[in-house]
Formats: sequence, structure tokens, C-alpha cells
Amino acid sequence: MPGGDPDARAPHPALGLNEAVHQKTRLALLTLLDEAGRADFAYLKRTLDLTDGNLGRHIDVLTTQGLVETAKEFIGRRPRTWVTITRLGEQALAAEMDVLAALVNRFRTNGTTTRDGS
Amino acid sequence: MNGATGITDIHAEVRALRARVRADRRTVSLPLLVFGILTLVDSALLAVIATMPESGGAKLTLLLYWPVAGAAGLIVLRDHARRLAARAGVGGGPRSYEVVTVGFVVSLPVLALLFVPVFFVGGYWATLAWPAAILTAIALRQRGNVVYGVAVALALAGLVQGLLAATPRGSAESWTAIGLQVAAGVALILGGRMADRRARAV
Repeated sequence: MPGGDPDARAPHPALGLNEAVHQKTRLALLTLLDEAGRADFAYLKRTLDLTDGNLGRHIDVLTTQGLVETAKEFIGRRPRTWVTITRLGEQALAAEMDVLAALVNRFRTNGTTTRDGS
Repeated sequence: MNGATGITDIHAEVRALRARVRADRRTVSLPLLVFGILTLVDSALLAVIATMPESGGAKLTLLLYWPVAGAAGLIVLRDHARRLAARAGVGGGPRSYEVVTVGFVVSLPVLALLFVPVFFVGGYWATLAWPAAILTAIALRQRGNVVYGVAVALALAGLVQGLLAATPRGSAESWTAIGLQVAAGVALILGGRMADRRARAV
């Protein structure tokens, strides 16, 4: 239909989702770090209820993407790993939240978040 | 993603997580409590000095109060955040009080120069603008909407206070200005305590 729904021609908002950020645990990690600025491994594990290995893997993905940075310090002989969100991480999280908001808007307008209306 | 429900759930989880981190860091309650107490101390000073004969020393005390108290308040917040980071493992980095504290202390000489005309014109007013400005800086640094809202309300109260306080010393309006400041200090402390109670419930 000419002049139909302009949303149907526009790229679907979901295409703007960043896979590195969108995964649930990583989204939670970035959100937490965005609010805290910086947190250590123990706090992240405790707050998000993650295992060492699970947390380490997700931190690795975020570090590779440049979204967080890690730094190790020693208190006596005990190592402590700090994770800090980077500027890129803040921007990626903000962009992700914008995309999610656009998806909600699309649903409210069209009654669906999918292009074919299913 | 099949619908808005899943996304709405994500938004709710994100909000809850942010609230939990804010509670752990006391980023709302502590600044309100610290600057509430400082506002009340300033009100007491204003009231005492208003009943005394006018003197240069009294005026200087009032003019120096917020530069000194503001720095002290920020140092208290910064030290608390450092202790919390060491103990609980959260805080610091881009959301630390460090930048605001150092920025405030470094800008004090400039602020002092801005005060020079006040010595000649006389009077002191809109003292609530000080905690409002400091809380705004903290809110911007920490992206705290609640603290920012409080800072804006304080700035508006400071505007009203300025209009009232720019009246002859000892007049009913100047006492109202002091009363407004007492009310603001009490509101900050109550707000801080309420935020603390909510934080414990998270």
C-alpha cells in the first residue's frame, strides 16, 4: 500500500541490538558498573549470583569489546580484581537501552515488535 | 523477543539493579544527610549573627562558611566512598567523588575572588545556592536523578531565599529567609533518612 506504515520500511529497531551487550548477564554487568563506576569481582559475583568461571567469561567478552577494563591490586597477599566501565561501555549501554525503548514504542504503536506482525 | 513484556521486564530488572547498587553505595542518602546537617549549622550561624551587632568578623564567618563546609562535606563523602570501596568492593572509577571534591577545592580561590564585591556591597543571601550547586555537581557525576531533583528544588528555594534575604537586616523577611533555610536543612535530613530506609528494604 503506497504511503503505508512508515515503520514497515524503516530498519527494525532490533537490528540495533549489540550482541555483546544484549546478553542478559552482560547487560546486568554493564548496568551495575554504569551505576557503580567500578566494582570488584567479589561484589559482582555476590550481586549477580554468578560463579567465578561464568563471571570471568562474561568479563572477557566485555573486555575484548573495550566495554570494561580490569585492574588487579594486592591487599597484602590477597589479589583483588577491579572492573571499571569504559566510556565506550557507557555509550553501548545507553544505545542498548534506546533500542529497547524503541522496541517497546513499536509494540505500543503496532501491537507487535516483529516486522511481519506475528 | 516476542513482545513488549520481555523488554518491560528487562527495564524493571535494570531499575532494580541500579537501585540496589545505589543503596549499597548510599549515593542518595549520604549526600542529603551531610549537606542537610551543614545547611542547619549554617542556619544556626545566620540566626546567631542576625541577633548580634553588625561586624566584619561575623560577615566574614558567613562568607567563608560554605566554601569551607562545602569542601569538608565533599571530603566526608569521598572518604566514606573510599572506605566502602575497600570494604564492600563497590564504588570509585568514573562515579567517584574525587573529581567533584578536587574541582571544588581548586576553584575556591576563584570563588573567593567572586566574593570580594560582596564585602563592599554588604549582605549575604541565597546561601542555599551553595549546597544546590554542590549537589548538582555530585548528581551529574553520579547520574543521580533523585539528588539532581533535590538540587534543583534547593536552587529554587535559594532563589526565594535571595529575594527575602536582600531586605534590611533583622526584618521579618530576612528571618523568613533563615526559616526557609532551616526547613530546607530539615527536609534534606528527612529525605536522606527516608532514602536510607528505602535502601535497606531493597
